[in-house]
Amino acid sequence: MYYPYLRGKQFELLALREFADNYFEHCMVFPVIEPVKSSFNSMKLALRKLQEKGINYALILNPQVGELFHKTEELEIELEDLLEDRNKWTPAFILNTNAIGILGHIREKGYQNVLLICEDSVDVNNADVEELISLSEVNKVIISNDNRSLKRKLDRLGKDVIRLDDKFKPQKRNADYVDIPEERFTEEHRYYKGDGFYGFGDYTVLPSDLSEGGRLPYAVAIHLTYEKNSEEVWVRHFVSDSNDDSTNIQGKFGEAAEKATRFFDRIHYSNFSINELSTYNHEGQYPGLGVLKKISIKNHLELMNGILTSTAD
Amino acid sequence: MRNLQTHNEKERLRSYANIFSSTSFARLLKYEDFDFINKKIERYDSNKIGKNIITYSDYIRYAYNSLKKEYRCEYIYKNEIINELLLKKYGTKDTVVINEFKVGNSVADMVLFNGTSKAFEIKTELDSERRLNGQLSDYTQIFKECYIVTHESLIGKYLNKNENIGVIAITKHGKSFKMEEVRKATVSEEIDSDILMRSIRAQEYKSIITSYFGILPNVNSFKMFDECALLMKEIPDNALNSLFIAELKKRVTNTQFLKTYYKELRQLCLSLNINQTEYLKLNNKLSQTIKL
Repeated sequence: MYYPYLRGKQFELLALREFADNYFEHCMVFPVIEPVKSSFNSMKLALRKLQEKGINYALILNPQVGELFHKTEELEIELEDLLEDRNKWTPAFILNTNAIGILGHIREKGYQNVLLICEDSVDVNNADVEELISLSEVNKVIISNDNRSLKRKLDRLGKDVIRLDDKFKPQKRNADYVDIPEERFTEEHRYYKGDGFYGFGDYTVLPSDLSEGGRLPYAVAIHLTYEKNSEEVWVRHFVSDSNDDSTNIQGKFGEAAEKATRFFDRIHYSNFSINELSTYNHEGQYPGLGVLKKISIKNHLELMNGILTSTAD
Repeated sequence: MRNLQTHNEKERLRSYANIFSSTSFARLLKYEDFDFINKKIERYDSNKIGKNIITYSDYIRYAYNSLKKEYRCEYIYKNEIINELLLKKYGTKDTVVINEFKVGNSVADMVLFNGTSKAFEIKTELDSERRLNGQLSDYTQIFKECYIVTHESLIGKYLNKNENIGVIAITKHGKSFKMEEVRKATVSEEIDSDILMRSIRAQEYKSIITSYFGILPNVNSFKMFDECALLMKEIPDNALNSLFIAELKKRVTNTQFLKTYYKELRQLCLSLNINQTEYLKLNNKLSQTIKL
């Protein structure tokens, strides 16, 4: 199973909704969502869609970044209706030095089948941490790959351990991708089971740090992953050519979209996201930078789902 | 000992200048995070709290007045342009003011559109002259009137720059400060359509083309910019100037409400484009008693 880690922002959530519509019948994707916005409309639409389509997901109840940091209660109240049926979603908590709080919260609400996401500040020898990860209510734990002592402990406790890797290497400016046409992205889908993991995850083609807002870029960059060979997924960066100032973003999008369309034609790979992009390209239509982000995320979800469903035992 | 004191004094003032940061105020509005003010109070002014300074707005007023007297940073200039020029002289009726407006390869500190178009470049006593010539030559390509705004002690230096550029200075009158127009800018009708294309939004250049020619070129959105750029070259300067001004006056800004806002915070409200509802929230927060 693939566990993409996504922040609950408008276009991330839109990618999830569309993905759910297209793939609910064969879904090997289990999204982990960290809410970061105090306006809940997009979140409600996305969660409702995932539930309708029977796609399980984890919702982080103690976000550590964004507008809902320390707002667990507000989050639970806002989403009350959707969270009522506990068979349809998985409660998740980010664990750092807050084990006591999480323990109390799980007991108070009677949550079952909890997923924990361990940050690097987790001390495996701390008594509260031990108590928390030993709870029978906790059955899945996400860790970073290099935390071996935690992995051993969790294995002994019989938990399902999922590795989360920060795969996307952000550059300072979009124009910097001009010098990196493509780079290796992941091969975890081939090796996670052999390495003793229950699942694997990444931050899709987004940086692991939450970014807020931003200026109009000088260059348009479209980040699209594809299966380069039977072991590896690579990411290609399609960048516009005229990048000397922030004007004419439409024209720049056209330049980058043309490159992407041509590339995927050549390797004979397509999916809903690539199709959407090439339609914009053929019709000379600029959809906006948000939609571009949605396409990049959704392409990665489609790709990983495709690989996993075709190789599933 | 004396040296150490002046050193600390500079640091204190620089800290006050940091209070007037739009990122910090955006955080305050969103997360109720007073940390950026509390830290300054703890470091420099905890003994003043509870006497003349009780609420956060009291403290902001105190910090602002200290800056105005002793450390006139860019924020003070921008805010005083709003207080002294916009509100007292130009008026806000039918006027749009924009903070940080991109022109070609430069960014004008403040621009204004009413019957005319004005660009202001601020050169404080703390600034260098670097880039000034490039900036001014960019602004004069599309603005009818361009001004350097500076301190009275620097007037001489800037009067010699370019005689078409106006000069405005902060001057001291007894205990108060005023903004005075030392030299009026020469009004220019010339306008460079290429730089204009690169300074405004897509919907704005499309609207200018539609107003003048009646229709938009029949091309897809990837080619729209290049086609509009060609067409815009054909519009005569005086017509293009009026279209530019009329178009920019459609921007949604809070210019009309600035006079009802705290006089120390008007520039912050402008740069965050704070509307009346958000202002009430801000006002509520700042009226709170300082808690350390």
